[in-house]
Amino acid sequence: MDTLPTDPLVAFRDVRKIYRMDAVQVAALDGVSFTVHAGELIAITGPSGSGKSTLMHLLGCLDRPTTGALMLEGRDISRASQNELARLRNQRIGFVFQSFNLLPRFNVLQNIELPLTYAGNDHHTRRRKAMAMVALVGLTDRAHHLPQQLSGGQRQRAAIARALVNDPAIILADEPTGNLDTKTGEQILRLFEELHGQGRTILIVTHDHDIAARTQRRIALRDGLIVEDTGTARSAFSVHRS
Amino acid sequence: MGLLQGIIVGFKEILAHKLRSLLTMLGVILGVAALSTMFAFVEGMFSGWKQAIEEQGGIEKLSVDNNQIPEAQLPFQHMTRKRRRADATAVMLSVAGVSAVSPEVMLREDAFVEYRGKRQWCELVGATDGIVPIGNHVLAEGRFISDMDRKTGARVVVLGSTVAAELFGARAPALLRRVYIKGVPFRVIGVMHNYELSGMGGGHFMQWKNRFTFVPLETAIKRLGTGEDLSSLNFEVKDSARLAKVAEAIRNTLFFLNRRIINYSVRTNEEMLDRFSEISGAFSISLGIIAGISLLVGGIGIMNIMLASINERIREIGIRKAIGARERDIMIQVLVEAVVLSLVGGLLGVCMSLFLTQTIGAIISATFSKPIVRVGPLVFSFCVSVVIGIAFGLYPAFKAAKLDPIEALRYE
Ligand SMILES: Nc1ncnc2c1ncn2[C@@H]1O[C@H](COP(=O)(O)OP(=O)(O)OP(=O)(O)O)[C@@H](O)[C@H]1O
Ligand SMILES: [Mg+2]
Repeated sequence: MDTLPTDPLVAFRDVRKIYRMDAVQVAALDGVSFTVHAGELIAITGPSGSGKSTLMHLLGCLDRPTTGALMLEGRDISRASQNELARLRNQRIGFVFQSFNLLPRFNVLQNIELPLTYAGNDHHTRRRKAMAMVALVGLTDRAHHLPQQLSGGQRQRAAIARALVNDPAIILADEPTGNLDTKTGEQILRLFEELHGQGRTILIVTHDHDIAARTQRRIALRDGLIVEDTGTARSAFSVHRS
Repeated sequence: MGLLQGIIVGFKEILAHKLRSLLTMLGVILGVAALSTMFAFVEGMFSGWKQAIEEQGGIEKLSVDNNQIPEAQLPFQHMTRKRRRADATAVMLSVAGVSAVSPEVMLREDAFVEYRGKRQWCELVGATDGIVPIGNHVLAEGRFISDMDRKTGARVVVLGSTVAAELFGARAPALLRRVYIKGVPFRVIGVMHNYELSGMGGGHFMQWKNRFTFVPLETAIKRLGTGEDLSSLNFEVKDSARLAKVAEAIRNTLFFLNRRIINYSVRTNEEMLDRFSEISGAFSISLGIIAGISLLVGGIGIMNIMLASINERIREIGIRKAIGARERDIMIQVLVEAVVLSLVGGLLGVCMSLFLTQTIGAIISATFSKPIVRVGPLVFSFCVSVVIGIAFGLYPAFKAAKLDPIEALRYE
């Protein structure tokens, strides 16, 4: 076999996230361990409050675990400084939200350019890269529209384009189809599958069992614990390559 | 995030809420306007004083004035006398560094010059040629009083320009005409410069100076009955660095000559200038406090608006952070907006002050000092507005930068 797994892209090692509110402690994640290899497409499922979003936030460098180690590309990001986290969010992570989270007063192109701006690209580079992304998600004729002038599906495409524009190591989508009807959701899902086909690493949080069934790997959470992981990193990896 | 982009965003915010922005900027506008207008007025006032002093001989002038004797010396009052010519001579002999001396007597009553039935009042001074440099007098035609005139007690007179013009008409020659003072015939040997017309300054002081009329000191004493007592005794010290020392030496000489009775004061124009500086400083401080309070109010207004503005945009800040904005980036964005607000306010304030100084300057009469607008203070006031923007933008900027991205994203 020529597909010995390389170093994992992501490794959670007994990660805990505990929220303290006065006397009450909520363990949103209660000791989670798993790895993600480059090129995987993973569905994260679980009931409401099981810790899916918390997991995404930690992996997305928006927050730091209470205990445990979280390795991204071999670096423990649980110890990174605020500035380093910001840089990782900008360069290595592409976040896609349920509610799109586009800036309302910026048009599609400007929204997509924003991560490039924070990365310090000049005007021409920004335009060029953003236009390429707009084309990739099929919004070329909507490039100068404001978010409110777009349909939900188009907004999510714009958001995905923005997530992709700095060529991140991993794409994190927290219920990306949650605000869309079934048909549009299906289209967005296809887009993710397409991206996966191009070799992207993608984690999708979803309540939809149909969606979950279509990914090669599924991680189910309950009460902050992984209760199911269909296939280890290795098997998922081989499935992908077969 | 480029600075230029930040500035553009700031301007967009201002234009999006025009009235709100204007109200916010009002404090800064008024503060900056007050500050730079105040500078212009103090500058005008001060330069007016400086010019008046210059016209009286500048800071090289040292004057000995008659003064009330101190209470402790009252029993000796009957032994006192005023300054005389001998005092001037004594000072010239004993004090080094004095470059000119001007003992003067004044004709207090009946100071009129008469010519063929016409009468003109004048400031009649019995003087020596020392008065020309010391009093900043300028001769227009003829000659001034010479030592020979004094020795012989010559009945010659140098007329003030207004006096000559009124007596003989503006164009008619004045020299060698015979005029009368207190019934004594005098020959006109010179006419002084017309200061007003030459534009050397405006106001009452110049009108008055144009009536100064001079006769030889000894002639005034012998023929016009002014008495031996000098009305003033002035010295010129070219080397202004030695001014204080020379003043002290003169004080000592007079102290000795006057039997230690101090019925005089030795005063320099420099001291007067210092007093003016003090006054204008006090003006500056009180007006500065008013301007400062107004700027403070303006700053608080800006802070308030910025806090409201980031509250409206918590979610936006969350999004920006999620896609990689550092705390620094958010901070700069908010700061730039605050600075743009105060900057525009500052600019409007400067415009307002230019308008104010122009209109007020046009309205007030010539006797007052007109405000003088200088670039330095304008730039300074403008910079103050920028500093205000940064100072009062800092807290909102810091608050925005420290927002937790997850909570900000969850904010509705
Ligand atoms: N900031 C917080 N403070 C306190 N508790 C929190 C906070 N964020 C999350 N939690 C708690 O952590 C647990 C996991 O929350 P999380 O948002 O990860 O759930 P989820 O699986 O994404 O749920 P959903 O499917 O409804 O989005 C929940 O019990 C939640 O109440
Ligand atoms: Mg969630």
